[in-house]
Amino acid sequence: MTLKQVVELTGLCPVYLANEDVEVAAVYCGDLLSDVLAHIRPSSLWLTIQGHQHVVAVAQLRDVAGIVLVNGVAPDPQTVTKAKSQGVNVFGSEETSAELCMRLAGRL
Amino acid sequence: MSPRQVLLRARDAGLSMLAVADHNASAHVQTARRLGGDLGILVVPGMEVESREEVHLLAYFTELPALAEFQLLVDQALPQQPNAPEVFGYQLLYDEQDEIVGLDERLRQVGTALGIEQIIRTVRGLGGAIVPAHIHRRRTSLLSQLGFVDPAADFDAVEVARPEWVKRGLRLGARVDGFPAIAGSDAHFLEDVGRLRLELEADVRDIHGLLRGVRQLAAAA
Repeated sequence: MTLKQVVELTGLCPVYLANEDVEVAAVYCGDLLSDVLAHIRPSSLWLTIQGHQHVVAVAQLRDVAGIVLVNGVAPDPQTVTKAKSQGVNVFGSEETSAELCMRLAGRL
Repeated sequence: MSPRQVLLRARDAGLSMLAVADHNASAHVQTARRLGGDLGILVVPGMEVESREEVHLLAYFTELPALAEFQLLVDQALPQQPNAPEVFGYQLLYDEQDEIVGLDERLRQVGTALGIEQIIRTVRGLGGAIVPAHIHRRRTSLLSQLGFVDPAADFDAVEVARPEWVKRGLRLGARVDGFPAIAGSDAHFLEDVGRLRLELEADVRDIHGLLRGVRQLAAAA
């Protein structure tokens, strides 16, 4: 499924949209950067509550399809700046990781 | 931030004791210790280790072999992945003359697989002291990761980051969350070496002497 389709399905709010045509192959839920670095697969949608700028670096390193800040967490201003300069898709959602995952279950 | 530049700054700042605690790394400690010996500065062999919970803890030792043994464990507990210099910078290795003699290519800017309890036990077992770093920091601190400081934990002290130390008007002898509080420069750049120093009227020979002195002040307060 493309990121565009995922966004339509789940009602994600774009914070910064670099490229919505990327393929989303999987979803990963994680808030410990070390854990995400170790386990996330390329082309994954990353659901997290971490709004700090280091999530952009991790997303780049692991070729993530996009970052979703869940639970209504707002990104730090530096996160948005970095996402723009690095071309990383960032979204927000008022829902929890579990709620978003259940919506996507079986669809990817 | 070569060992030589750090020690020269420490000398200029009038420090008599300096802990070198790199992130999950310790390759420069031996060099720093030798240079410190020449300059009359006691270098505490240390490491800032990142736990599985992504908490930063300062491990301080009195002898290099203990630090080396701890490093072996840390190396085994780090992911077997290369560093990403575009994100984390190049981990250059210097000799005593500021010459670049190598490059550390391992990924170190992540958590190890070691839990906090395991780190405490291991460091103590090696004769070291353990101090959670910058406990109020928004990330990678006891409070950010666990939400609380366990009063029963076997910490020697807790470290308060310099800005917070100043903001709270802390002095040696203060207790924070039940533990004696210390602070340092946490220098990541040369100009920060010696920016905040602790002064004790005591004959301090090693890190245990320093922490004992701090504990006594905190007990008397």
